[in-house]
Amino acid sequence: MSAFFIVLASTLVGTVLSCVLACLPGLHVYNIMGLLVMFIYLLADYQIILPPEAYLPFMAGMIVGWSMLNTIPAVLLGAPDESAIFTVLPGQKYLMFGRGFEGTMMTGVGGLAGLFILIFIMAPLAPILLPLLQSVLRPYMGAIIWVIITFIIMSEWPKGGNTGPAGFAKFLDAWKSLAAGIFTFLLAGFMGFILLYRSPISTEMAFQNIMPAFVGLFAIPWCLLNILSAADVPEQHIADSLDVDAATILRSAASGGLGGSFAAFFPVVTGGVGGLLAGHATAQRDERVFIMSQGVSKLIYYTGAFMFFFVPGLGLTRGGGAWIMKGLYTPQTSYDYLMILGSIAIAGGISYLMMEPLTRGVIVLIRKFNYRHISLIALGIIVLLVFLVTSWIGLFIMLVGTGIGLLPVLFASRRLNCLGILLLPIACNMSGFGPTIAAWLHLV
Amino acid sequence: MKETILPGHEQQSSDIKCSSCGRFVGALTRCPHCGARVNKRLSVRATRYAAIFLSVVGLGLLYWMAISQKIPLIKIGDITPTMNFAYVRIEGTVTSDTRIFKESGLVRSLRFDIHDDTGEIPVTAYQTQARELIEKGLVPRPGDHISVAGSLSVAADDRILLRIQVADQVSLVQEELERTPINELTPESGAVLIEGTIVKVMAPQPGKKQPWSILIADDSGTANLSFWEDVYADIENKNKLIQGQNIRLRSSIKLYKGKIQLGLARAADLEFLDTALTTPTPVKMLQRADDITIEEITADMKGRTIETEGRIIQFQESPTPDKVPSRIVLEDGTATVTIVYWDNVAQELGDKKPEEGIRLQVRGVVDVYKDTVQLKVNYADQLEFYQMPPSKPEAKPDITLIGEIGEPGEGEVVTVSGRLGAPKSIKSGVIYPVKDKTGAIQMLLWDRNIPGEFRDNLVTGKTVTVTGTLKLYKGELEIIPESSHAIRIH
Repeated sequence: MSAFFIVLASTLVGTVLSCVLACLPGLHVYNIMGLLVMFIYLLADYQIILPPEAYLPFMAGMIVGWSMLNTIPAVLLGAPDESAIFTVLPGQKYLMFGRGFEGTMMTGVGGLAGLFILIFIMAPLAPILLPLLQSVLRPYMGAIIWVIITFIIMSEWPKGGNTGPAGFAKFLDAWKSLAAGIFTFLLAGFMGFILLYRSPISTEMAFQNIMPAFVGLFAIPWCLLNILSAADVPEQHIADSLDVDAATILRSAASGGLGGSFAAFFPVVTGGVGGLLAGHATAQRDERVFIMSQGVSKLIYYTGAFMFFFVPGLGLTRGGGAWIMKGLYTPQTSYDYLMILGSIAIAGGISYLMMEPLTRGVIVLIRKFNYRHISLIALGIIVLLVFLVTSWIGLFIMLVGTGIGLLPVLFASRRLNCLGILLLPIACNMSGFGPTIAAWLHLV
Repeated sequence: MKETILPGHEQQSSDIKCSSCGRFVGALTRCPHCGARVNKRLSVRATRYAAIFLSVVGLGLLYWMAISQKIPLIKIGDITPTMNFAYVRIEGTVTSDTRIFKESGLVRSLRFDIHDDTGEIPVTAYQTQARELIEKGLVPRPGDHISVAGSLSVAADDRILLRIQVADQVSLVQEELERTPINELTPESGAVLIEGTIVKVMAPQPGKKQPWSILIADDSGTANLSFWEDVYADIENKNKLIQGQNIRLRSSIKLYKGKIQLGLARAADLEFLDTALTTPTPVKMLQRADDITIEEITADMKGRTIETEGRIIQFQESPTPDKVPSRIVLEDGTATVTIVYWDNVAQELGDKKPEEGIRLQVRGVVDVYKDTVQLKVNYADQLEFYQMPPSKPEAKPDITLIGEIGEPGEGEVVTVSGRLGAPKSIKSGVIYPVKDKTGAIQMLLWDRNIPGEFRDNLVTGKTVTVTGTLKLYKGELEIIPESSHAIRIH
């Protein structure tokens, strides 16, 4: 079979598989990619070497499909993952008004816009601009991360203390969520130090050191809250049209594109953080822009970070997908880059086309089955996945992560604070004193 | 008063609505619309306290567990791609010089290689850790035994690296090395101690990024020592860097253009011996010419001064030196070239006549005569002759025809000879098919056995003779050589 057909076939299979998996709440594409990479290593042990044309487009398809369709559970099945944190409120509102289908499709349109930005603007410019940008910004990356951390903490707003008589009780009420946010950030940061410097995970599986913690911080609280939630999903209306126009799409693309690109390029910054920064920078108030820009941001963050890994001569590893692939393949030429761009474009088109039937399917599913049961099944799959990769110790780390991950949800602060698990230790490392702090903590 | 129910909220539990204004509040405890407190069901409230308890106690336990566990000691050969980011300890011998990288006078990083009995890994330390290692005198030298902990970085194609996070996790046993004669140096020698005499000092050309090159000789042969300007700057007695000076050198072996070269990463590893074998004679520092292989000499280079090295395969002394030049034919494994010199050089050489079989280092001007490229030598000191160590008669191995190899016995060793096919990369190694007229066999080269520099010489289409252990893997015959010595390229 020629390379063209191998690339095409593996893109199709990867996209379709991830589109289906994306409908399960809490299941992250990086968990699946980690498992697949382990499988490829296993094959190599038996001297079965897969050509890069077979697994690279497959992975690209997985990432594009997931980042496009993961909005379905985020909108229709309650709480989102951290990178979709801002879709939760408008998304939930849409759901409760029976407009879940429309909300999901709007993020899909955003994702499609994100793909156009990625393929037609970022891809041609990346080999020229990014090496330059990288060399200029590299010495200041540590400082930039610290600024982002400061912004995340300082931009948290009090959720209480608005009404009632002045006094300590009101002060406490106002500070409850703020304190919970800071506490979450510090706890997650401490956990990050432990896992980066002295992870109890077996050394043979060290490349998945952070995975159980991430599952605990983001996925398990989502499933748990769905299970515990008292809310019932009202009847959803399947709309024939979307409440968006060209201006809304353009505004969403600008805002989301900025956030997604920022997240894809800077280390440790995720789509959620990028979305937060871009939202503030572009000051978009429209709820539709809010939802759509998250679709744009999310797709550009996940897919863009993976795409940057293949930019010839750049050597940039951003995002979990690229880090997982780094141990498997070293991109070298524009052949790899063009192959990945082609796969992304094909996967983007297919996944958008799959969005409508799959959204309809999930709506039918939650009409027929209690979505708490769906969340319970998803929880079981995630726990099994963590156990398979990291064994009992991984489950324990996941449990601790769950405790921390529940704090912002239950105390109404931002789940973004959980990203302290990466932001704090990496910022310390980039500033050169991470190992010193680890030594103070007796971790090294 | 009639209760306001939002569309789609008819069946909702009262817990997710504000009891004061009836609007959706979700998990919030205070209504964002009217500010009223919202009572939650016990399950949600309970999870709050459970979450705090779980996170704090769990994190405490995780921390306790983390600091209680020992850093796992691993073998380099056991490193797999899934071990990326693992924090591990490795023990072994330092096989390379420690390179210290500076920027604006500040140490940016340092790097050295460690070898245990299963493989080799580069180790690096950045900024603070690198400076601490230097301050604490923990910069390893070739041959030192070292135990070092750090985080692993494993990229594709088995590119592995250990990154030191804390200088205190490096422990060093400085090893005294035995002197190694120059003619016993091999690419696998690792760290060596050389004692010899400086034969020639070649300074870098001004404005060019070239290393210093020193030719050293002992009673067994000669070798080239190469080091960079920053190392030269740190040498205390630079005036002793002259022809005839005896030196002791702790070095690692490098391969440059297929030739063995000595490296010097720190000035401290070069010691000037007071007991000179010959009277030190200050020599002028020669400007370094372009050092190239014979294959690289082309007619386009006419007029350029170049330097090359090889074995004399033919010498024609001119019977009429004032009319016809003397000719030396030199070969270095890549090609041959004719060196010509006239009467004045012949007279300067005197009795030091070229002999077939000995090595010659030559510096000359590229010339073209009757469409043939030749090297023109104008002074006798541009010809350096080195006596080759007497070569041991090589035992010719019994070559087995590939087609005659049957079911291999346990640990059976054979020698086969054939043409190399296209290589195929596998995890931790590479496979080359070797074909003779009777059949084909897979030659399996593990990274730990055959260094990459050697593998670079294995080109598809070349004929090799290889000795190795036979193995049957998935119905295919494999031959596994133990080291690069077991492979001869024709």
